[in-house]
Amino acid sequence: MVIGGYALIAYGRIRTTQDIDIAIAASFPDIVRTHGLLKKSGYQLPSAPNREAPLFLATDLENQVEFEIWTEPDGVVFDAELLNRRIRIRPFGDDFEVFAIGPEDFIVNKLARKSKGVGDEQDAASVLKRQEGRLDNDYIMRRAKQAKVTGLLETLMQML
Amino acid sequence: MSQILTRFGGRYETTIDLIKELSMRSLVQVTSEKNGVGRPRHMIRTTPLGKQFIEQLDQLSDIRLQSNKNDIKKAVKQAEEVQRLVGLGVDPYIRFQEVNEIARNIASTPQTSRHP
Repeated sequence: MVIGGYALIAYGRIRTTQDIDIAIAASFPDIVRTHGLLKKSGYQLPSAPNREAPLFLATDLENQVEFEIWTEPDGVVFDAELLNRRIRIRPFGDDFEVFAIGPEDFIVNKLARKSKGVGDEQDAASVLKRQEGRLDNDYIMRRAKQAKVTGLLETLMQML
Repeated sequence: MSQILTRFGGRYETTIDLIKELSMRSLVQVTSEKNGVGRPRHMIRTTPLGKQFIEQLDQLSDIRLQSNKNDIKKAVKQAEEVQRLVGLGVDPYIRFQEVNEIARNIASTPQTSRHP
């Protein structure tokens, strides 16, 4: 499923992004297979899959698009509940549909980022604003607690 | 000391001053340990008060945002603008592709020299 800037547009503000963030729920052997398939398809992959790394990079040289493929996105627990909350988006027109992370999980993912910056907090704030009255409060608070970002989320909510 | 400097970087004098201050505030305890020949080694340990301080600092970092009010205000305005566009029937992804295309073109345009 798509996370990051491409998912943001469905729920929050529009901002430019030069890469596409994708989260995949896969076992390590499947991650290795995915990596191999991308390589075979002509993608440039600077590093080999690594159990310790939460993501790997892949570049589509033909279209000059960089992908961040997250196998362990910050604050995201790949479970049935999260997968059920995905939505389908068409970021590249009507012909191509992909899953995007749900809005509550999007916010938690942004706030839980280890290298979180002002932009991540602004992304989360924009989703909180645009989705006002539509978010599942119990769910987001539960996920925030799991990711240890309850305080951050509450502070952000107070600032809106 | 050398281990602290290797791990965290910084100047020797500044680090010494910092440790002195932490020690003065009872957050760390500095002891000397003689191990065979050579100069005694300075051991710096966190005191129970220091540990409590770190725990509370960690809790604080969970509620401390990096953004200020203006940053959040800006994001809220941008969200409202998208909401307005959606209300007008504009697909935000189409608007995004337009904006992103412009940004990509700007990024890939070689900068013109000021000194021809």
